[in-house]
Amino acid sequence: MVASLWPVDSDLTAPLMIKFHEYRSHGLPSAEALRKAQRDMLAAADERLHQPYAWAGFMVYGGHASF
Amino acid sequence: MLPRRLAVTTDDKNRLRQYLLGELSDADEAQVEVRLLSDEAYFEELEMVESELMDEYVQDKVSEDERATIESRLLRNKHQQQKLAFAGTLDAESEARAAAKAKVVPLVVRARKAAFSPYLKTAAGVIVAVGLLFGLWLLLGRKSDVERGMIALNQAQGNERLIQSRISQLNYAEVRSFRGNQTGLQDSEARNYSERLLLDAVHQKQDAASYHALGRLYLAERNFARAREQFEKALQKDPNDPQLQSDMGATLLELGQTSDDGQRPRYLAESLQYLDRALELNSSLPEAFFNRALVYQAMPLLPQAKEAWRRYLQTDSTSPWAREAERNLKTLEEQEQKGQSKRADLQQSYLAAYHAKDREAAWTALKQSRSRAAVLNQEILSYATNLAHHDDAAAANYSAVNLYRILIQPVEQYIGAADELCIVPDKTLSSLPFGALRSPETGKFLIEEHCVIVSPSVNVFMECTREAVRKQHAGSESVLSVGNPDFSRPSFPNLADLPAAAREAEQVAASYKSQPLLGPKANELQVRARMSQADVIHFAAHYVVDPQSPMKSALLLSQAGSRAHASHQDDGLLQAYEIYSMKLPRTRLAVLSACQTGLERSYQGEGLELLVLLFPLRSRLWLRVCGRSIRI
Repeated sequence: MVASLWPVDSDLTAPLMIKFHEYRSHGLPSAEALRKAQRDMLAAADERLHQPYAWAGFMVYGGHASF
Repeated sequence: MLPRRLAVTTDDKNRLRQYLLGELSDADEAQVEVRLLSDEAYFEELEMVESELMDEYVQDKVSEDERATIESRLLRNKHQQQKLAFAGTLDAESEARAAAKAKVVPLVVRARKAAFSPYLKTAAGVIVAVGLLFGLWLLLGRKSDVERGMIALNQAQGNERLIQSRISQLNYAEVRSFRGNQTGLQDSEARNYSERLLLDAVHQKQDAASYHALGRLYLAERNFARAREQFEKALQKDPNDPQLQSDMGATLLELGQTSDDGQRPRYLAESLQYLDRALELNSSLPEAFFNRALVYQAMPLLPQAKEAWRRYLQTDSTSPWAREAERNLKTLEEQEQKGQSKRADLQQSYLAAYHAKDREAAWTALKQSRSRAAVLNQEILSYATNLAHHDDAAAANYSAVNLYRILIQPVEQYIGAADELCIVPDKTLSSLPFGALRSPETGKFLIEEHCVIVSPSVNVFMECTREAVRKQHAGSESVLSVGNPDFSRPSFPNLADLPAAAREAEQVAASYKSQPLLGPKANELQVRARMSQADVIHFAAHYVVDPQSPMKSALLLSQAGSRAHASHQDDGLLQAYEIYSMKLPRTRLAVLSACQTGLERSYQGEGLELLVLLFPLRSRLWLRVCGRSIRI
C-alpha cells in the first residue's frame, strides 16, 4: 500500500497522487511509479512541491514492485 | 596623595634614554621605575624620550648598535615592561594614564600607514607601557595588518590552545587540559593587539582575508558565534578558499561539542560539509584532515574516525600535530577493544540473566547494549518531526545528509546503480522517510537514485510479493477512487473540507477510465460494496488516528441513510477493524492520500500502524508479523 508518514495538506498531495496513478496506469509497478512521481515533484514549477515535506512522507509498503 | 612634581633635568632625560636602551644597572632601573610610578612629569618626559627614540628608529637615524639594542632590549625586556604596565594600572593615581594608553594604541597601528612622525610624537610614548606590543611592532616590520595580526595571535595563544580543532595558520599548541579561572588566551596583551590590527584590517579592506583572520582570533578564544559571523562574511567574498572552509568546519565542530544533544548532530553534519569542501578545494590540507577526524570522533563514527586519523598521518607524519593524531588514533583503538569486550560482557550477562529467568537484569543488560542506538533514534525522530511539522528546512537538510552517512553510506558499495532497495526498518527507523535521505557526495535524494520499498519484515515482503503476483490478472485494473466525502461536520468540527482531494480523486479515476465517489456519494455502504471489486483503492479523505486504540482509527466517509440510528456499516466511519474483517479478494494496492487530520498531535510515526492496521493483505503471516512489529 501507499501511505504517508505524516499528514500533508491535500492541495500538496494531489499533484503527487495524480502523477503516481498516471505512471501506474501506463504499466509501471507501484514503487517505480511513486519514485517517478516524486522526482516530478522535485522538478515541478510550483516550488512548494520541492520540499520533502510535500512528497517524502509517502512510501510504498509491502512486497516487490510488481503490483 | 598628590604626585610629587619635580623638575625634569637634561640629566634625567639622558638617564631615561639609557633606561629605555637598557644601559642602566638593575638598581638604577628600579630607581627610575619607582620615580616613574609616582612622578607624573617624569613619566611624561619618558614618553617624550620614547617618542624621540621611536622617531629616530623609524627614520633610520639610529646607529646600527642602537638599532640592535632597541630591538633586543624591547623584546628581551618584555617581562619587565609588563610589570611596569601592571604596576601603573594598579596605581590608583594613574587611571588617567591607563585610559590614555587604551586610547592611543590603535593609533600606533594606523601610524604605520600614515606618516610616522606626527603620530609617533603623541602616540609612541605610550609604548613603553605596552612593551610587548612595541616588540611585536618592531618584529613585524612592513607586513600587512592581517599578517601582523596573525603573528600576534600566535603569540597570544602561546603554548596552549583552547579548542580541539586545528585553525589554519596557527602554530601547534597543546590543548589546555585544565581549565582554571583563566579562560582567555594566554597572553591577553597580544590578543588585544591582534584584535585591533585585525579589526583595523576588516574596517579598511573588508576583504575575505581580513574577515577570515579576525574569525580565527575569535575561534581560538572560543567565541564561536562571532567566529562564525566573520567566516560567513569571508565566505561571501571568497567561497573557494580551502583554509576558510576548514576553519568554518572547525567552528561548527566546536559549536556541536558545546551544544546539547538536540543541536549537536546538525552542527557536526554541517561541519563535515565544510571540511569535505575544503578537501575538494585542496586535497592535501592538513587542518581539514585533522578536523574531519575530530568530527567523526565526535559523531561518534569510530571506524571513520580511525580511518580519518590514518589519512591525516599520510599528509603529515612529523609535526606535533601528527603526534596528537597518533595519540587520538591509539585512544580510539583502545576504546574499540574495550567496547568489544564490554559488548561481549553484556551479552554474557544478558544470557546468564535470561537463563536464570531474572528479567530485570536481562533488560538492564539489553538496555546498556542499546544506548548508542538511542542517539540514532533521537536523530531520526527529530528529523522526521522536523519534516512532518514543516519546520526548519535547513536543519532537515543537514539531518538528511547526516542520516544518509550513517545509514546508507556503509552499505553503498553493495548497491548497484539502478537497484531497487527493499528496506526493512527496525523500531524508530520505520518513521524515517528514506527517500529524502541525501547523499553528501552527489547531493541527490535517495529517491533520485533508487526505487525504495519498505516492509515490516522480510517475510512480509515475500508474502506481499506472492499475494500481488497471485492477484495479478490480464486486462485493465478496476479502481475505487474516493474523494472528499461528506463526513459528519458536527462530529468533527475542526476538520476542513478538502476540495483538492475531490479533484485528485477525479483525476485518479480518470487514469483508470473510471468514475470517482465524491462528496455525499462517498458513503460507507457504497464504499464497502465497491472495495471488494477493486484492484486499486484510492482514498483522498480524512483519516483520524485513535492513539489509544488504533483499531478504532477511521476513514471519514459520508452516510447513505439518516445520521441517527445508523449501523456501524453506515455510520460514516470506516474503522480499521472493519477493513480488517472485510474480504478483499482483488485488492493489490491501497493508497491513502490527503490524510490531513487537522488535529494537533505530536508525531510518533503513526504511519506504520496505519499501514499495518488499515490494509492487511489476507495473510495470517502478515497479521502475525505486523502485530509483533507494532509491539516492539
